[in-house]
Amino acid sequence: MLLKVENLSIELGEFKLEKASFEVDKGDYLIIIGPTGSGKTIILETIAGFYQPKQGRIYMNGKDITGLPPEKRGISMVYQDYVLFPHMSVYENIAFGLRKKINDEGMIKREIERIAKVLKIPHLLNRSPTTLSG
Amino acid sequence: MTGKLNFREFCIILAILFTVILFVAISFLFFVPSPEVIWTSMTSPEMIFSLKLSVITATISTIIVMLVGIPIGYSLSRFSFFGKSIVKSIIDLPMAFPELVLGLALLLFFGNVWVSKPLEILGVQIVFTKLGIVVAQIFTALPFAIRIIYSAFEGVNKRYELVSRSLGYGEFETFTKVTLPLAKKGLFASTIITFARCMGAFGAVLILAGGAYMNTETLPITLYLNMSYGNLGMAITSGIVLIIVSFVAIVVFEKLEGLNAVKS
Ligand SMILES: Nc1ncnc2c1ncn2[C@@H]1O[C@H](COP(=O)(O)OP(=O)(O)O)[C@@H](O)[C@H]1O
Ligand SMILES: [Mg+2]
Repeated sequence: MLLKVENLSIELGEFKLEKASFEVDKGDYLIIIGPTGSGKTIILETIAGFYQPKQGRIYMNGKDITGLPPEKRGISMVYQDYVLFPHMSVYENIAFGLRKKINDEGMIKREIERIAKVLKIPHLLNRSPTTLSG
Repeated sequence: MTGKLNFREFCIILAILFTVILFVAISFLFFVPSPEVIWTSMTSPEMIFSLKLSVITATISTIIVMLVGIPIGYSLSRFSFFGKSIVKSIIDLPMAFPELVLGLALLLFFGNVWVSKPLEILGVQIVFTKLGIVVAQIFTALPFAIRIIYSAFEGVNKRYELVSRSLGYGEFETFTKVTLPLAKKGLFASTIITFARCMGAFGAVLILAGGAYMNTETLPITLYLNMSYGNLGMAITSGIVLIIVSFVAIVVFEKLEGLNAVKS
C-alpha cells in the first residue's frame, strides 16, 4: 500500500476531525469531496506533516511516518494558490524543488533548460511568477 | 457657504489644519535661529561628540533589536507555547508606558546589588555609562520593533513555508530562504523605525545613563541640557541634526531596499 491513513483524528483550535481512514495504492486516484471548511486541506497538510494528528497513524509504503517532519517524508504539496514563490524567478522556483534531489548546479541548469524546451517556455525563465498569467 | 459645515468637510479641514500646523512648527526649527548660530552650534565639540555618540549607540542598538526582535516576532506569529499571551502583553506594556518610568525601572533593576554585582565581576557597568545608553535605547525600541516584525511575518502566508518544507527544506532553511525574503519589506520598515526611535530615545536614556555633559550625551540630551541652560541656538540645532539624521537614514534604507528589489 502506497499510503495508508488509519483512524486519523485532528484538532486545530475550533476545528475537529474524527477518525478518518483510507488507503491509496500505486497508480490510484483518490478524490476527497466536502464543503468548504470541512477539513480537506487540513487532512492533506497532516499527511504532508505540517500538523501532528491527535490520534491515528499514517503509513507510507508500509512505514509509519506519523512522527516525521515534513522535509523527511518525501511528500510534496501543491496548492491551488501559493504554488510559486513570488520572491524567486521562474527558474529559481523550479531549481528550488530540484536542489534537494540533485546536488549539482550544472545538472539542475541542464534539467531546467530541458523542461523549459519541452514546455516551450525558455523565454519566461527569468521572469517573476507575479508577472505571469495563468 | 450655507453656514453649516457637513461632516465630510469637517474631517477634511481638520486633517489639513493639523498637517499645516505641524509643518509650520517644524519649519520654525529651521528659520528661528540665524544660519551663523546654527553653523557654530553644529561644528561645536559638544554637538560633534553628541552626534557621533548618538549614531554609534543607535546603530548598535538597532542591530541588537533586530537580531532579538526577529526570532521573537516570528515565534509570536507562528508558534503556540506556554505563556504566549503573557509574553505578548509584556511586549505591549512599554508602548503605553512612559519612557521616564521605563528608565526608572531599568535604573532600579540594573542598580540593584543582585544584578549589578555579577555584571561588575564580568566587567560590565550599565548605570550612568555609554553602555547604559544602548540598553535604554534597546528597551525603548524593542516593543515597537517586535510589533512591526510580528505583522510582517503575519503577512507571509504560512503555506509558502509548508510548500518549502514539503520540498525537503528544514525549518531553519525555510525561514532563511522563504520567510525572511517574503517579509523583507516589513523588516526594512522596522529597521528604519527602530533606528529613528533609538536616535530619539530620551527619557530612559536620561535616567539610566545619566545624561552627563560630553560623556553620556546623545542628541536629545544635548537638546534638553542646552534648553535648560537657556542656550536656544544649541538646543534648536540638535533638534535639526536629529531630524536630518533620521531623514538620511530613511533615504539610505529606501535606496538599499530598492537595490534589493531590483536584484531579485
Ligand atoms: N492552523 C489552523 N488552526 C485552526 N483552525 C484552522 C487552521 N487551519 C484551518 N483551520 C480551520 O479548519 C477548518 C477546515 O479548513 P480546511 O481544511 O482549509 O477546509 P477545506 O479545505 O475543506 O475547505 C476551517 O474551519 C478552518 O478555518
Ligand atoms: Mg481547502
